[in-house]
Amino acid sequence: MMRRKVLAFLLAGVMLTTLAACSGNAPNNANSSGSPNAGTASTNSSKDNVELTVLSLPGNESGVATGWWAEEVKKATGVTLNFLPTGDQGEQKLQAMMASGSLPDIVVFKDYKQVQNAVDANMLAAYDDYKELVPNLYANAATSLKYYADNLSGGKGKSYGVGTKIKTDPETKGDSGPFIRYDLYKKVGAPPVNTLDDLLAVLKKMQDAEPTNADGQKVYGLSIWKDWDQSYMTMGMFAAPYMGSKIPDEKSLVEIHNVGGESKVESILSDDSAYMNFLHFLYQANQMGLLDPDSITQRFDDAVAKTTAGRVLFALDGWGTSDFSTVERQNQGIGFMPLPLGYTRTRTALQPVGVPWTMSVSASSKNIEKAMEFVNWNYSFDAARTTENGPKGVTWDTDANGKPALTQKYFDIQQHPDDVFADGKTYAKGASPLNALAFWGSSINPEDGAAVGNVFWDKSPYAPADTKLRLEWQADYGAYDMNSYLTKNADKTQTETVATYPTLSDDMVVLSSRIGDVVKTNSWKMVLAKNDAEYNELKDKMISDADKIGINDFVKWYTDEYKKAEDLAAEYSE
Amino acid sequence: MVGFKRLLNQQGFRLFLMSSPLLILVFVFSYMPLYGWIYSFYDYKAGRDLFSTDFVGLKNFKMMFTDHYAVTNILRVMKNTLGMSFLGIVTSVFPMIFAILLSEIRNLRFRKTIQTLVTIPNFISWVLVYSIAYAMFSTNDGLLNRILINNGIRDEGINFLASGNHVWLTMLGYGIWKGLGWGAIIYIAALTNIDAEQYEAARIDGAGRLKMTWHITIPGLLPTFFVLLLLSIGNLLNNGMEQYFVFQNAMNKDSIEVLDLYVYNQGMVGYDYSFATAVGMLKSVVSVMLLFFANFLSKITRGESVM
Repeated sequence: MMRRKVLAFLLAGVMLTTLAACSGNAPNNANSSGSPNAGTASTNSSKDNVELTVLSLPGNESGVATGWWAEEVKKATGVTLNFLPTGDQGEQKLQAMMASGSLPDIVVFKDYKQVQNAVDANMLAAYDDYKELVPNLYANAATSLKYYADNLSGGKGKSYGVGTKIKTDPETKGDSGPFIRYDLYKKVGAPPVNTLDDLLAVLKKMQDAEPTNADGQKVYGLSIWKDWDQSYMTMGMFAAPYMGSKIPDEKSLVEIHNVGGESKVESILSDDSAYMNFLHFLYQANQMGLLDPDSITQRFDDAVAKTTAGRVLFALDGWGTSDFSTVERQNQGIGFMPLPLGYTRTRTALQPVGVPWTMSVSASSKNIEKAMEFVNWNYSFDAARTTENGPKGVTWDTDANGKPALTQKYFDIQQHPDDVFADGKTYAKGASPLNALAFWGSSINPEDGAAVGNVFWDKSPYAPADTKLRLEWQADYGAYDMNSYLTKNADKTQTETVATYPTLSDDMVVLSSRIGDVVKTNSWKMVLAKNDAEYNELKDKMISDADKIGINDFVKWYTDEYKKAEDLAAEYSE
Repeated sequence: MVGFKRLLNQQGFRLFLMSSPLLILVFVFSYMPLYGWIYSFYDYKAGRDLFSTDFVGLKNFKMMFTDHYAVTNILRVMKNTLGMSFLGIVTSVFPMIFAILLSEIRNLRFRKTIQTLVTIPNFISWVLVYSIAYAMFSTNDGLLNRILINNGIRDEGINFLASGNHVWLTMLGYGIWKGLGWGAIIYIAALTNIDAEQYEAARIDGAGRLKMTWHITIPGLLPTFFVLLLLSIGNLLNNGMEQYFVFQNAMNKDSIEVLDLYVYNQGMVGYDYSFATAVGMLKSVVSVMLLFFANFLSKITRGESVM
């Protein structure tokens, strides 16, 4: 009996202490849980390799980075990057981490509001406090840092983030979307494509010409996905510039039109907006059997795999197109080429501040110094060139004149994209999963006067001739590539007045989300509507519901703020 | 000290002491989280300290009942929640039926194989279930559509996953596929507890298999059934999100969005934690309603009730 009593007491005691321990530790856990690498951190000296956790909202891959890019990072900084999965749940993951009180070591945000929230919650480290660790950042991205200090520091005057894809020189070369299967386009007679209706007609002919790919799988004109949808169907954001407007980010329900240096902000739901036109285009494409019916249920990866397998005829951007149109295929005359539509094209302005995709270091990181070292590396021109063109000394190097040049190896890889590097990964698979290049390809390194991207470099004497497909395209459009074509036909393009956008207020984020709930659901329904009557009914419902919830308040707020952003921009254009 | 010893010698106090760890557990995990309800009274923003954000009083509750958009949505998700909950309750007899049928199989190896195969899906996460469903039912490459098209039954595949029709039933189907075998385990255990002499006596009295099942097996399993029913009702609303979350899309959202998913969509996707918290409180209302319903059911069928 006595023994039983003791046992009961012991049991109760143990349980009580465990419980007490649980609740006592809770706040501590909440503060440190952002760095799952705490174990390696404690034994960290600057020479040791350190694993940093990264949440990159624009990224699409997860896991510990391996391949040539990861090797370069390791060599230069002693850092291994472990990417948290983002995919279609990145924003929610960020929200959960924000609520828990700590962020992973390095975060790449997708819009200014997210940065602002993290700054307000004191969750980011200021670059200003680690100035000596990030000399490259201050040398090469000073304007961007100033913008963040002035506008996104909650009045603290410090830079808690830095913009990516900083563009200080116009892009005169290179390809930009949309892309079409050029061989099939030529096969059906290459009719001029001025409007979306023309595009539908030609895609239909192309699909009839090649209903299945080599493996007998069905071919579709267009295959899209909903992974990135926030307040509307995000595919519309990619389509808008081809039709002369610009949707600033995934939460902003407005289109900005720039005509003759004047900007006009309007609702994405207004009559004849690029967004509404694009929805109607998708609806018609679906009616004609051109739209992949799995678009609403598949993920980004599925769609890219389809494009790579030659099952997609048209893509708004380069997703999977280059994996299909290899140099080998292009030399057979098969592959994707950019297609200029007849609409006025909106081109982005120079972006000394960078795009709103923002790179920050977490204040709760156990390895802030290491994280700073990585950021510093990322913002060197050499690193940007490596990320864009491959490892220095392998795929490119500086030539006798001190200018960067592609090596023979680079062209070999182009010919044989399946060859693997020593680490067992191909060139393409070993590329950076970060998707946050510091500088736009056209930005010029002041030290050697050459750009970051190899399309802007002088051609190597041993570079192979342009592919058969490229030569065909050049003959058809009288330009070297898409950006040269747009530069040549400047009357068919317009440029944004500014490249910085307002930061949404808390109220506007909630409002945008409530309206977005209606807009994105009904947009997809409209695309998959059975007939015109159903399409129009859904459209009316979407517009009237959005009106009721307050889309006009949003548009009005944005219009005012955009005017302010335009005034502000002058300060940040060098 | 003497007083404490005397207290300790009392039966009731000892029992209290023994149960107190569990009471503490219940307090920590069921009552302490109620503290989170305070978020509904503030204009909370993720990352910031709660008390540094604005106190808004009953604004979020008012919105739940006055904002037209919110009201229609809440009514819709309540309908979905209750609808699918009741379908789940109605079909909660399936594991019992399955267990009875299984026990009637004479071939032991065959019975074990079936039981294993049906139990495995319980261990597959909903995310993977969606992948399997996508592989089976996608329009392009789905197995089912391939069969339909290859055999000339249809020209175009049917987009099962992006259909708003019969969502409640398809969701129920996935749920049963996943949970049937697992749910049957406890009934199989309960079956072995039924006194074999009862069957023998019945057989002597000339009862057939059907009669024995009806008069011995089912009454023998009913107490288990009702306990499980009450437990499942408690859990139904707690675990109700994952499945609907992975299967939701624009076409089926109207009928698939249950209360938990709506709360998630409002809070995590919509950046409106406080409103989501306020709506989340509704869950307690629904839970209490369901519990009373189950208790009532137990009372009229067995004459006993839990409360």
